Amino acid sequence: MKVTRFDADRDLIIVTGRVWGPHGRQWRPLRLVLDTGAAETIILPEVLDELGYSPSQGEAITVMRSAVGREEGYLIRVTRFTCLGYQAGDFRVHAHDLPEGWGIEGLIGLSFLKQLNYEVRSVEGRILVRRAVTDAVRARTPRRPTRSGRLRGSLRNRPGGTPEQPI
Amino acid sequence: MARANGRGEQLTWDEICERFPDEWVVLVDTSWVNEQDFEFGTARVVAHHKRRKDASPAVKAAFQNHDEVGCFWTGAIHGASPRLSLS
Repeated sequence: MKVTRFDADRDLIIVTGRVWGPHGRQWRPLRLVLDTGAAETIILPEVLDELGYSPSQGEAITVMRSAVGREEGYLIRVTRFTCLGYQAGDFRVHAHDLPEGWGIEGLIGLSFLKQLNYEVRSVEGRILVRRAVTDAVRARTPRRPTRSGRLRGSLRNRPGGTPEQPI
Repeated sequence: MARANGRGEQLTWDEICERFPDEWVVLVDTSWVNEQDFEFGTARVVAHHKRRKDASPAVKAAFQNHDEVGCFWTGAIHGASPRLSLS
């Protein structure tokens, strides 16, 4: 089990994630809002641009509807994403702007969380996470086949880094 | 680009927040205490900006010499989550 701490005095649950660039060498730490009401994991487009991703690598155009209107973003796969002590390879994120005043670089949504069992202890400021990969979960998680036809799994841990467990 | 004064200086997060209130700071050489949480000993501020988009050139420049570059807001974090629909 992994334990992630957060500031229980904040209005939002802020956690730290990491996203790697297309070549798997450079990476960005991110502060993300844990959002169990969001289907996708969102990362600011400028973060992905800084790492070397391009909108032309996106898989689909998306639309976000909010109180301020309708804005377009795109879905894109990143080579590696880690959060809450677990990592996902070839992970699909939603590149989309967030309001400037929020002070975060993204949201972590169910596209990542649904592969885990987690317990949010709000008073304690802790999130307890267990991997929960079952056949049912695998069936709900479409993965793009590689050129060799194999399904892509998680990448190995970064040498010298925290040993995040693959999802 | 707003480059930080004393660019070679390693600062704690509290010191960074005190020197650059309500700004996006671009950090390198971050000594993470616990990589799972937002907790580090010290880091070096290479740039600071009021707007996130303005920090992008500094982040890209920092990646020329570093494999890890952070960009964090030193002020309060708030906001409601948007809801998505795919098309």
